[in-house]
Amino acid sequence: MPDSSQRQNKNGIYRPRFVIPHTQKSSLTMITPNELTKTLFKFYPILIMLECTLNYALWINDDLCLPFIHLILFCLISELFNKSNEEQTYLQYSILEVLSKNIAFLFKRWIGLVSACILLCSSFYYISTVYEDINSYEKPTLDDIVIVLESVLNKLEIIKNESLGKRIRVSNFKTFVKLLFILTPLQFTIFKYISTTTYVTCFIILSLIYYSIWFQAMLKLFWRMIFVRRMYYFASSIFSNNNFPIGKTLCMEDVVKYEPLKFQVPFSKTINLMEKSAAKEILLKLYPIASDLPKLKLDLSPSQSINIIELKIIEKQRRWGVDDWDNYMLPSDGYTFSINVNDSPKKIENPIHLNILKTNDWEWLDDNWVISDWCYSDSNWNYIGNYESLETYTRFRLWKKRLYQS
Amino acid sequence: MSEPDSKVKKDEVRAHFVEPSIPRIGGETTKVIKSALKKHSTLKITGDRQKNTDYNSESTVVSSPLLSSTPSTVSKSLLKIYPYLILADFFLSVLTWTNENIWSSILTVLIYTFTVLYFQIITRYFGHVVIVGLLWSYSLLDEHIEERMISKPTLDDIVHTMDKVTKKFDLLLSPITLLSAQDVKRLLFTTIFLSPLYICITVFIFSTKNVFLLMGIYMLTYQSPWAKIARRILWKFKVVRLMVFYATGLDLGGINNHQGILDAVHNQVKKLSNSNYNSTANSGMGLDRNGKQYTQSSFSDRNGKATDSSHDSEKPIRFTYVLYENQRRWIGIGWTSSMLSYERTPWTDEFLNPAPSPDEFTLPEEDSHLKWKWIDKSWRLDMTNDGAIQLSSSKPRTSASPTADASFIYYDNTWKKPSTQDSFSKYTRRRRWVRTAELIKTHSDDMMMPSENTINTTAEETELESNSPVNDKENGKKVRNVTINEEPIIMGEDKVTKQPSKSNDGKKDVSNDDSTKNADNTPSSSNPTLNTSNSDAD
Amino acid sequence: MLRYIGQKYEAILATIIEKEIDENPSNAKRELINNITTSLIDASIEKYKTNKYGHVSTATDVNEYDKFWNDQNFKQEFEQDTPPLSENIEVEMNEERVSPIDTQVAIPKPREHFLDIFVDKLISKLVTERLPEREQLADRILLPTDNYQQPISATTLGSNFGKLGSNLTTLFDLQESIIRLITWRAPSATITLLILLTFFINYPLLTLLIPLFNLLFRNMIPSYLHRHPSNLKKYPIKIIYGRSLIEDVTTGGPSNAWHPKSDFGKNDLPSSSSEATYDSPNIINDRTSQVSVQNSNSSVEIVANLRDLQNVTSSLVKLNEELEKFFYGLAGFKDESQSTLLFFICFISLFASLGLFYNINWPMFLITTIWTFMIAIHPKIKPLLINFIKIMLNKKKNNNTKNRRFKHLVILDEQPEEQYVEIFEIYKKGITSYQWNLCVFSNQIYDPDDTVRKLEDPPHGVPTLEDITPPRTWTFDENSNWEIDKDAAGWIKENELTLFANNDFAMDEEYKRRRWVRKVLRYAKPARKPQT
Repeated sequence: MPDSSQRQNKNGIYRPRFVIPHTQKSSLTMITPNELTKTLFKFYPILIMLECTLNYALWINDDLCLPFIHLILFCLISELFNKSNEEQTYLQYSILEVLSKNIAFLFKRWIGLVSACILLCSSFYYISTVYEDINSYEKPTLDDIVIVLESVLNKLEIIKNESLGKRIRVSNFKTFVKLLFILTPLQFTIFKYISTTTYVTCFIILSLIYYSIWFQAMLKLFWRMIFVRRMYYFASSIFSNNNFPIGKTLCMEDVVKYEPLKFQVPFSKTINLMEKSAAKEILLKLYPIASDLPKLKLDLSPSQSINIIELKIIEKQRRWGVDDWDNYMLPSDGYTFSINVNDSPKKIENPIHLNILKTNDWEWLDDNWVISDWCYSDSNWNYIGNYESLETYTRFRLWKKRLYQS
Repeated sequence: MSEPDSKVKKDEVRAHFVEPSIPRIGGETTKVIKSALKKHSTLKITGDRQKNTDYNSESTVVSSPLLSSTPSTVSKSLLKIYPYLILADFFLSVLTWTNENIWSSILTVLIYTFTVLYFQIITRYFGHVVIVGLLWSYSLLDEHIEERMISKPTLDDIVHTMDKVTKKFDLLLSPITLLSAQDVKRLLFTTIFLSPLYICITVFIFSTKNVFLLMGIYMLTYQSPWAKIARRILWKFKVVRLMVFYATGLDLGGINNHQGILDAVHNQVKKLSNSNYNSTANSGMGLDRNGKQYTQSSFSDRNGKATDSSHDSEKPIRFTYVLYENQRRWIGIGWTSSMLSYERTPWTDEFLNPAPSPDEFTLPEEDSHLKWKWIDKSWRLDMTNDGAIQLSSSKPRTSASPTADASFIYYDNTWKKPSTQDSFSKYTRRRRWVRTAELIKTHSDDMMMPSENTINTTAEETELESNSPVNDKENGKKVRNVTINEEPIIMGEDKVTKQPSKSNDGKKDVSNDDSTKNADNTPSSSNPTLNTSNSDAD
Repeated sequence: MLRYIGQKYEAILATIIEKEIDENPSNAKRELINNITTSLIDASIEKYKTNKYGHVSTATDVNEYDKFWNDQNFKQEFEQDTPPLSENIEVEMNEERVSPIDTQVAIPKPREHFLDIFVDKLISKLVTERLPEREQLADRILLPTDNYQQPISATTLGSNFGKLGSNLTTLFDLQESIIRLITWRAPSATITLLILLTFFINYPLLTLLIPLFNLLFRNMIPSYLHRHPSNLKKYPIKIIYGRSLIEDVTTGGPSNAWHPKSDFGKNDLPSSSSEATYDSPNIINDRTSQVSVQNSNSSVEIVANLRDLQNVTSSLVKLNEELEKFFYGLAGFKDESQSTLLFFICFISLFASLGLFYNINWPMFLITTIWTFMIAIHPKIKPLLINFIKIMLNKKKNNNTKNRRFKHLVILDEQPEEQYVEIFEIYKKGITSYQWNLCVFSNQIYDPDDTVRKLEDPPHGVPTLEDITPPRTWTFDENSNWEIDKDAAGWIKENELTLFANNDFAMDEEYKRRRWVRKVLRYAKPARKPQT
């Protein structure tokens, strides 16, 4: 890497080196056990063929025309199964009659046969030439074998981790049935318009090009489109149990009704007799803003207590471009402002608009919202760190304010 | 197997089977792999610092001197490929009928039959079920692989599985690897040539579906014990062999065997050298594998016209080998040595019997008293093409390095109407290569040979050896066939005695068979550099 | 020098004008000649300038050109990397960038001479001859549209050809590849071509979609893959075993098959291409001068043609630049969200048109498009339309919500690339054996085999960790910090060094160093740029 090892220039830019991943520098031949070497050597032809097959699947050959030709041949095989209308009645005619009537059909069938034959033979040919070549070329060293092995593993891993192969996966019987349920009408509508051969051909083409880098890049590009995501999340919300119902936005009246949010905090009876402001002052003294409410109620009798709610509102944001944070969200992200009730998020209004209390018996304990720093996370809301970096696509912070029942 | 039977009488001494030493690479391999991995991961400091501390916490690692020498790159790759190996092993054992439970193979065949028979209905009504099912099985497979990755196999396991996979794979491919590249080309051309016939068959007799069904079942059951025996029995009929020959264009055994050029020479030699050494007729002739007696009628004296006519056994016998190179023009491709199945092979002798190409042509081995030596350094093109082409007297009659198109005689599609000129109506051509050899007596008591002569011959011998990479190739191929340990396309020799056991305890048997063979063959097959290095490693 | 040229041409001009007035007092002609001569003078002055003052004008061009290629994702990085306006750097840059033009200009010693003769001859010819089509030609030359106002200038013409020259290579590549296809030198490609031809002959209308298809899959996807390469690694596999049947059958395989011998000698192509690329102005001049000798009647036509040629080449050059900007900019994922959107639109339209092509009433469609197009470019309607579009665009710009919605069409949340960088903190041994002095943070290990150390230079580097900048196009991960690599023995072994480890440090007799590692991130590789 020429730019990384660059010396310090006049502008004071000094760049570090990359950590080069560990590579085997010395030859493996001298240090590997005998049995292992033998086994690997015998395994070598399989590795080579596997490598070639994977190259075809990923479309990374030197000559891209060949896989294309093979693809076409594959599709042409389907011609073999095309039926002529009159096949049943052939026996009544003489051969010449049949020929003259169905010349196009027979020609197509011939093409199908020839392409099947070519495909079969080319695979045979490849296999037999691999063995011939291995025997005629000089023997591979262990390093050669290990290189091929690693290359094969790399390709297998790529196939395993292909971008959307992970997302569209049928993991259990339930999804299987659900998916079938959705696809059945689709299937029948499709078959109204296309024939079986077209269906099979399309399927073959799709499965043959699915792992090509172009197709994968295309999928990745589609994945960037918001409306594709929306569709995906809509579909997946059918499968997942914790879908997001479009609940109504909570306001303060609703919040006070949720029992789980309330804490019983020990306090003297006289609280009811006191003036509101005085009570608040005492409360603030007892429980300063930084303190943790539930821990304090341990040793006092519950009869003399007061209800306190600590509102913890989570604000979420997503990055839309360079330094462009925005409250606009994906459907999977949940709500911009939410509050957790029984571990399930509820949508709530923007805290700035929550300052006016309409209920009579509840009072704000704190004057202002206490806002935490932003925590940054990746696109799936996995926490990464406290600083913004290229990795972080989302961030969230906590708004805190307490209120008490007077 | 090797355990001496307790009921055996004491005075009876039976030979044991040679038992191959089972590769056992070390004691506590799991731990050793772990230690190797640890070594590796501590070398690498790619950010996973927690893992480092994890590794540090377990301190006791048994190190075996043999395994600690396995480089971490290798063991890591092996560990990664292990789940795939297991999968491959499973599928291969289904396909090769070597699974302990033979029913899985039968089930596969049944599923295949069902799919082909009801293909239309399945795709029409259950196409989406199949696709979703495929997705499901894909994810199951994926999970399975991930699980296997986590479970820590021993290096022993990995090597053992890899061995198994290799053997089964070789077994699966054995019918294909028997074919040479040339054979496959021939097969392709023959099939395309015969394709109208096949089309007629699919239209009038079988439907395409049924042909597919039959083909598929044939392929799936190829390795099943019943199919093997059936093939072996069928192969005994000459008609079957002929049919196979005409359908594939491949001489898979027994059709044209004993008319080759070498046999002709051999006969000649035998005739010439009287019946003194007649007892060793079968020794190691190239095409004479089956040890059958050939007919003398296919041979004529014309072959030996360049021969030194003296029948005196003291003088060496000279003999000119003649090979004809045949080519056919394919439209759009040009002249190639790919011929139609029913016609002559690319290389023939003058009676159109198939012959090996000059590269593969090796002189026949005679018995201990006689030996062939080349006199010409290389094959020479007969520029006159057996007198057909008129040459001016100044030009040489033969040439060792002719141009690609020199001295052909051109024929039409059916090898008629010869002419020296190429034209559009000409589709075939041939030319003539010659090379002279002599048969020398090498009696142990025959020390009277002139020293010059010996020097020459040895020089030529070395040249020959250096010029023939083909020998290696053949050796390699032989070795491979042996490790497969299975007569590849049915053919000839009767080995029925060994077969039935295979289906019962297939896996074990295969491995045992192969390892015995391996014990014989590995020194020649594996890499010489590897061998030397391995001895160093210990 | 400048003055000399000016004087020379003025003298010529004067004589011409005098004569012209004598013979043919047409105003138009005088203007014409005036025009030609001034342009010729311009040309020589321009050339003189470029020779003398270096490449001031072109340098500014380069800067403007470069600004377009600023990458959307690397704003900060780019600012860092733009060199400050110190003189020597600029000169360096000029030398790098302008070299092709430089060679163009370096040739002209003989040309200047030739040009002078040419001018003299041309003008004398112009004056003496009476031409029948003069009026017509003059009309053409003095046409009042913008296009024809541009004066002829040999340098513009030359530089146009120079710019087009690089594109000509692709043309010749195309020619070469066509030859390869026809002669079956790449059989698989030929078969592919045949298959495609068969397909397009069956469905001829689909040929119209080829450009769109090419844009999507030959341009956009590769540039996306260039920015976000898949984690496919390249392994140095030496031998490729096994052959393809199709290849072998079509080439006749390894056997001695007859090969068509092509007549294209290797010498033919390069020579023609080199002529075309380097000497093209000369060729044209040569040809024109020959023609002028042969047929002096068409001399004005020559001037006109020359100017037309120049106009054509200029517009070609401009078109080429615009195309480059499109292919490498909008369609090249310079701005990822825009390009993604474009990709999506193109993809949808590709498939929509695939479906529609055989269901459209083509005559009707064509008739309506042609009518609307022709009406739209009607001189009175056109400005109205343009105005209307401008207003619409302004509205859109003002409308903030719409802008926002556009922003939210595409989401870019790919996992960025991760790498680790290392830096070595080097200490030098002090006077006593326990005293070590911090030397520097260096990216070199500075072990006894280090080249810098062998030269007995002190280690290069910076005094603090904060002074280190991430590698070009990469940024430091803010959530990670420089960390000491505790496993000194490990990295010593990995780098195959002869140092010995002591705690975190790798020691030798004079120096000790420890290794710091930090994560760097990069969203994407910089976008592709056209090769200049």
